[in-house]
Amino acid sequence: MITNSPFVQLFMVVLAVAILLLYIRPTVTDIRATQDNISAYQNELDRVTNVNDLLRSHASAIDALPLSNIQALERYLPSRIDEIAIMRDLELIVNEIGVQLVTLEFAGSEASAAADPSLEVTSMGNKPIATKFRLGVTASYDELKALLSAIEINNYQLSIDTADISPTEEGMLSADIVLVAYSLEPVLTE
Amino acid sequence: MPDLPNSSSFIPKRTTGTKIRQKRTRNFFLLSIISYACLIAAPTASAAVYVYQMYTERQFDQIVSRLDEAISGFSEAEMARVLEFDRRLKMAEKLVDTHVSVVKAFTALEQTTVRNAGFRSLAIKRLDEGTLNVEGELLASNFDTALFQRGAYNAETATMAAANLEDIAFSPATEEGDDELVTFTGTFTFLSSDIAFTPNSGMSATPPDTAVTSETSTSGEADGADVDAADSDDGATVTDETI
Repeated sequence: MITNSPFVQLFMVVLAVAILLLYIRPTVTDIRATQDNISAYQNELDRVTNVNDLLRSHASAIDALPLSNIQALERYLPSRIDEIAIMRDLELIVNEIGVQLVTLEFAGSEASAAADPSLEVTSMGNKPIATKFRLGVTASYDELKALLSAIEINNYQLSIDTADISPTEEGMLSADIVLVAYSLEPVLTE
Repeated sequence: MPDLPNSSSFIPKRTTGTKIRQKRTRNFFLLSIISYACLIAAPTASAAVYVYQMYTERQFDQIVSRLDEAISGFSEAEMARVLEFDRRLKMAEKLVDTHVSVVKAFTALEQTTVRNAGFRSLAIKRLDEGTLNVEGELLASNFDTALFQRGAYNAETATMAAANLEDIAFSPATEEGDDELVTFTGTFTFLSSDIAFTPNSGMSATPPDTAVTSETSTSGEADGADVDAADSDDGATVTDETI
């Protein structure tokens, strides 16, 4: 039988308060901290899961692309310029149109982002390299337009940087054209 | 009935005052209840808190392991592949968007150059992604043609964004039979949007043989402004040595 002694009852109250202060309260604080951590980790988990899902969906979209499209992109903007191949293509175009080839030479390359900042895209390692070629031909006006048109519809871009056109003594036109081809080096990842 | 003396009765008399109440020990019982309640509640709450703490810690461990799994499921190589493809695609898109057709610029010049005027030489320069600059030495058979030509270049329907004619010089007719000639330098600025390359337009390389536009034909009172289709191959000719 529990005694009715006030001292014992007071001791019981003190004991209960001591339990409250020394165990329950710190434990509740710990639980709150753990719950905060759970919330933070849950947010991070959601973010990581979203990134993984997004990455998976993008990778799937890339994988679903036809191989011809990926090859066309690689051809349009290659990782590096093959100068010989481009000069061979230019010679083929000139021969196809039937104009007289005067000069065809490699005119150097430069990082085009420095020269033309507008070509920069908003991602890292975006430095397209512009490689220049000098093409000199003698042609009539129509042939020259046909040549420029053929160059424009090339599989990869050969944009005209400069062109000087002047008449020759034979009644033809002499065109000295500087063409630019672009390449994009892949970003090295560790 | 005669009164009986009080002292003579052996039956105790009832007092007339209020009852003497016994003092209750109420405080004592309240403290007992509180103390018993505390004694029961404290261990019960401790047990509940302990169990809940275990539960939350288990939850935390689970979410940490799920996060670890998610992080380990992330492929850096895959990310690099996607980013590289995206970068290349964006750059290619940018190049396609800024691809201009010089043939279109030629066509625009043809359509705004009158028959009795023509170019002796041309210098084309890509200033930036949005602008193509064409500078040419122009010839006109007389001042009227030069005036009309200037009006044609500055017409609102002209494709070029700006056209400036300067360095005007006049060569009078000679006794050897050379006609009078007005020469000047024309500087034309084309916006990329006006001469943007489109694959279909690039296929038709054959230039139209028109020397002037309908705009110029409406003001054809200028001397020598032939509004009909030009017979010449180059579309706008003064002499044989012009383009």
